[in-house]
Amino acid sequence: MSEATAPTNENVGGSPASEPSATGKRKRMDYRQSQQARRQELKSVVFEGDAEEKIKLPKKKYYRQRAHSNPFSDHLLEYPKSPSDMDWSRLYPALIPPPTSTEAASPQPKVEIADIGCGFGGLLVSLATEFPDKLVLGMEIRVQVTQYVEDRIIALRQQHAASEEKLYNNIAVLRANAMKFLPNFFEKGQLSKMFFCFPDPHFKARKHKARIITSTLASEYAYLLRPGGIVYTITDVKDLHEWMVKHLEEHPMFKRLSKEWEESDKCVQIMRKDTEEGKKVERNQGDKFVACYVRLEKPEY
Amino acid sequence: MRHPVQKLAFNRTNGRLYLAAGEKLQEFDPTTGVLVQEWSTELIAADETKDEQPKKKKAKTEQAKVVRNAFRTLSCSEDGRYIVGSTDELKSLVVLSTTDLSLQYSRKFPKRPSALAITDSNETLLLGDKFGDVYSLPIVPSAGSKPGHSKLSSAENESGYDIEPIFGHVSMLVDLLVTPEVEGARYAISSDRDEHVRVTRYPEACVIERFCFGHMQYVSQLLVPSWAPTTLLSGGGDDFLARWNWTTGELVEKIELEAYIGAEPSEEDSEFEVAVSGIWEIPELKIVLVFDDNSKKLLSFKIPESQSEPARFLSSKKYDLLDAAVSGTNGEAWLTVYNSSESEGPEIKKIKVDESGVITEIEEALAKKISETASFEIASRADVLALHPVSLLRKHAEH
Repeated sequence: MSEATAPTNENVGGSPASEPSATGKRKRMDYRQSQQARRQELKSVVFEGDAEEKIKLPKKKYYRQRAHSNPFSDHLLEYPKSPSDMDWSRLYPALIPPPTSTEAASPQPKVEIADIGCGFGGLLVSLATEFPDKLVLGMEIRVQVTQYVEDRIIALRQQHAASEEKLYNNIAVLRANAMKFLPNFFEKGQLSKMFFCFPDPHFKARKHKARIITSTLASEYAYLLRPGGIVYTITDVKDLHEWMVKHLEEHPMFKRLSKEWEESDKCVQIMRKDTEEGKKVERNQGDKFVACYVRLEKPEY
Repeated sequence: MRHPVQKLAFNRTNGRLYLAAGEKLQEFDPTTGVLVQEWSTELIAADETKDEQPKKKKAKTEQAKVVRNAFRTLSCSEDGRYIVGSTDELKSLVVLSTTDLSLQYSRKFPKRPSALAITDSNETLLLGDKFGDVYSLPIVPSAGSKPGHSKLSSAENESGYDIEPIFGHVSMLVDLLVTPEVEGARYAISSDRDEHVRVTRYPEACVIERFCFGHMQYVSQLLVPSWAPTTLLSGGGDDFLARWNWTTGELVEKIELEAYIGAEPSEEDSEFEVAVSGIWEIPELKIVLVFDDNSKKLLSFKIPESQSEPARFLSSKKYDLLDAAVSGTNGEAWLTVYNSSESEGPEIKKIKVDESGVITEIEEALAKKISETASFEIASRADVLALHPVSLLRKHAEH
């Protein structure tokens, strides 16, 4: 993706041609700058008690970004050299002590649920309260969308700091290219659930390799998931649904879960109604296609 | 002028040396320096363009390359019956019989092949491409298939392919090998431009066994020494050679290279960078040769069988090395080096590595004879391939 074609281009001033929208752009930039300053300060803070002034939830319109990203390009990404090099205390400050502290020597909780391409974080926020005792991580490749989710989590954590459950300390987001670097973050068999909600359909045939479910990536997901772990997929694009079903179906490490199972699973319900895309499809009265797969103990040919 | 030789392979069964110069493959008898036979990728290129409809291609600003379909990889099957290579622009795999250099088959791939490994059963080869996919193919074509070149159909050009990759990375596949059998199982080890070294079960390639974590730059070379089957050596853009126990993923030793390479004092301001473009083993001496393409140093190391013993640096020699092929059982190897003299052209050398790792040139007259005979004619030096592509793998991300 070339920076010049992205609407996120942050050239200050702009050309005379873009004059009419210049004030809007200015406003977006100012907003994002103030959010950025606060994010740096509060990202790894543990909120305690009732704050006098509640942090407002961020406004989505200030974080617009092109919906596509080329997973093959070399983005300037931060990722650990290996899972053991990852400092999770920065993402879950209330639950994981910093690596330098004495408590860090004892076993720490690990991320168990991953939302791959979490977008604006709708599912993530719902999973926080559904699984209050598990760590949930959202991963998103678009910078500004990631920042929106970060700001959303900061605001939610602070707003609920006085409550007994201290909600939202168990969710976090990071910018990552999940197609390339998931094994850098998670150990073999660390995850119990992986969500793929409304992924980029990459319609053109020659772009199919950029799709998030392929037979070769399914092997990587099987590596990350423990036996019995679940891959959740949902899309409103029938062709993509069929593609995902085909590739997971053919994979010896996965087996599809039944319609009855889908109906009874809470996560499927959340995925249908709480993702931003899910809501959009709801408004447009479109179809939603769900397919869930369990990771087998041993390959079945 | 004549194009330099970019790839070498040695056939231990018939004792022949294979040289790939540009688009040409030449077989030499290295005991006499006589050219035995040759083959050119022109033969499949002609086949490919024969009934191709003229296609509108994106206008290229650069001039069209003259040497379009050069060999980029070359290896010889363990049993010596086949010589296998992959080519540049046609993105094709080529399998030739070593008896008469006849084309067994060639096939075009949707993405350019970038790594090649032959399993030691001599029946299957693995081919990795620029987009990270790895395909498994027979070396010997099945009885029903006809020899010759198979093109991609237009549908395949657009999307799928008639064979599915057996595993893949989402990054350029740079090196690939199949391990010897360890406790009854075999594995494929693959490396990419994104620092990953992956161990996958083979042939049950849907099971990723582990990753070997520790590299911070592209990994361009992998070697499992035949005398230490659980050891893996890997190198690339990092300033160290990694020595792993690939059966556990443990990084046994980081062999720092800076001290042996020595930054040139004249280039003080230039940053110290390493680009390992080759690792070769000399089994009978338990020595490996490692080439750094930035300093142009060929280094020799003793790699002990036991992983508790450290590797030992032995010696170094400066060469502008393009490729090497270990030939005999007595520490001998053939080199192809870049000839920067006015005439340029191929330059072949023969070396002998002794027990202390010292590299000496031998049989100079014979090597000279081969250098003078090897021939792929090009119009000018502008037509010479980019011969040092390894350091281009370093990432320079902007956003």
